[in-house]
Amino acid sequence: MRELLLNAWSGWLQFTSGGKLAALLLLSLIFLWLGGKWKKEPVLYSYTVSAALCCIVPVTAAALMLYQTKFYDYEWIWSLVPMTAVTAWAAVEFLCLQRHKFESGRRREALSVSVLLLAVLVLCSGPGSSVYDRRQERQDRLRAQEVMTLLAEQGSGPFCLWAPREILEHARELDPSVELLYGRNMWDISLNSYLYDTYSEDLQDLYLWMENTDETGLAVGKDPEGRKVILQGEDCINKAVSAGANCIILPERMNSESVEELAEALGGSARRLEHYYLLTR
Amino acid sequence: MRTYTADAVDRVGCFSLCLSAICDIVALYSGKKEATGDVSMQFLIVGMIPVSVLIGNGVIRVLYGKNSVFGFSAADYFLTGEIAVIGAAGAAHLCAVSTGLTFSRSVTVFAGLLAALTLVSLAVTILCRPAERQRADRKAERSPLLVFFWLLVLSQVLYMTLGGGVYLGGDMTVETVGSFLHTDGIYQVNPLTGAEYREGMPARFKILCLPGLYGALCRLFSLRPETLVWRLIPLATLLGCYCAYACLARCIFKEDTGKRHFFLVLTAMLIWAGNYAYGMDGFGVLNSGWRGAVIRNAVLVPYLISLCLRKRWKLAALCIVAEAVMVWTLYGAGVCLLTAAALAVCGAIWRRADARRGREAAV
Repeated sequence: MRELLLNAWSGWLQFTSGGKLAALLLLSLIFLWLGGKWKKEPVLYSYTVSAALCCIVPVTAAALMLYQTKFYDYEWIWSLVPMTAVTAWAAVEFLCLQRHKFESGRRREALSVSVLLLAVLVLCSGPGSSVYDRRQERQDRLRAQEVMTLLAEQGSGPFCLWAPREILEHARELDPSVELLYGRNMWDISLNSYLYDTYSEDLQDLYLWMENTDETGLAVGKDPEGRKVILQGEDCINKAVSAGANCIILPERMNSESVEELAEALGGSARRLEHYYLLTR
Repeated sequence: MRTYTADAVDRVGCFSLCLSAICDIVALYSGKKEATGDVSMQFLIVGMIPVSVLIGNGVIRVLYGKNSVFGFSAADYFLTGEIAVIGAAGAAHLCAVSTGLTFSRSVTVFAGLLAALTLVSLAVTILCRPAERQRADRKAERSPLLVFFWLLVLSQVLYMTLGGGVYLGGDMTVETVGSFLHTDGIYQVNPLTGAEYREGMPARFKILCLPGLYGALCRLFSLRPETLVWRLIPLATLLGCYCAYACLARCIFKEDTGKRHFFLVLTAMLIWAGNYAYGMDGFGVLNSGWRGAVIRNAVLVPYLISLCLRKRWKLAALCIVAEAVMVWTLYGAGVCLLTAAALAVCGAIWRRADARRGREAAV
């Protein structure tokens, strides 16, 4: 319970750290109250006030997080609050007030206050901040598309693919017939809610090696006790093959000699692609 | 013959695809072009709205009787139609999961339910005409604010289709739909790896119907999963979102059409403004409009609030059911149920307070 309360409180702090639309909602509620505009729709107003309070107070927020099955993060309890609707309602009333001022001759005041409101809206939306890197996402997808197209052209039966994260991230959406050694839930842990399957330590080592390997095929991993161990490329290749991989993509940062050595260990051949090496048996 | 591959859609964007679809249909029916297999896809884009409106019209007439339809607008019909389609998908998906049907069979069940809904709605619409027609105030609808609103909506459509915000964190819808289509089975393999499940998956997640609905639409209209899920469904969510807010605007500003238009403009601006954080309405609509939680927040909740304010409880119950079949809830009790219950309590308190004030004034 203590953990849930802490989550509720840290969730609120995080929710209000990026942009300030939640603050704008509270301002809107105060404006509607002071201007008496809430009487136009008292049911919606009183509901919004109580729902917003429930989401802010940690005890009720924790109860709501329990109600939404703990599957969703804190921000999703704000689904209960009609934030967009009530903020827009208050903004309409505020701007209509300015229109009356404009029509009664106080034009400069009305215009400057309206422009100020728009500026507040822009500032509350956290300008410049971004949840994810759209350009990187597109670039990764294009690279994955190139690799998947190449594999499809080779057409030598069903693949079980082991590749860097950016390829695996998009492989299944590009080609549902391909099988992966591990999926996106290896690094996006929120996806683990959708299934009971977990990854073995060997597969976790393979992920660590693939993402962290240096040019000679060495990477730092952890043993079951949490101590640092060096992961050897050859061992990892053998583990991948015994896990079922028959098509391996290696990152560009590895040097060609190391890749040739790994291809020999695999008993197959290596081929240089534009951004990767392709190892097949 | 034009083919709509994923590349074409990604590069040119769905926006141009929508325009070309409309042009093609116009050309087809004016006799300047021969019918091709692509027409089915074009019907999905252009036919979605009238079919939803027709089904919604039928459902509302069945629920409220032919003479009660005056309280409803086209936005109500469209949203009710969308909810009915989700309900049909939910029924087909539940049927397939519980009886172990193949995915193709579940698509057939869904198509049958959809066809039945459409035919019954058509019959109800023809047979149960209201006694008199309502005249719309055309003059009031020609507002410059509406032009500004449509420009904002257009900018959002361009962002979603050309610039492309697709946020994939915590979501595997496209992989799931692809697995359904590839294996012709529902959750036969782990969508993230393509391998068979070792430990299985939660049953409450298995019964959620959106991947089944998207898969069925992909199968029926020969679309790639990413084209439908990332490009077309978010457009339907955006449209549903503004329909829901239009219904809410009618509740808050009952008499004032100008304020209603103003409300829509500010809603569109707030949707843009909310594009900064995961969990905000704007971010959901513009970057992941195919997710159940986003459809609930952007479409179902505002529409449900408008229904509760109008005391249309039967349709509110449909919203609660729609949420239960597409979002992971506490045994069916989700945000819609809690919102409807809270609004009913607030409404009862205010009615009581009004009645007491009335009695005191009379004394």
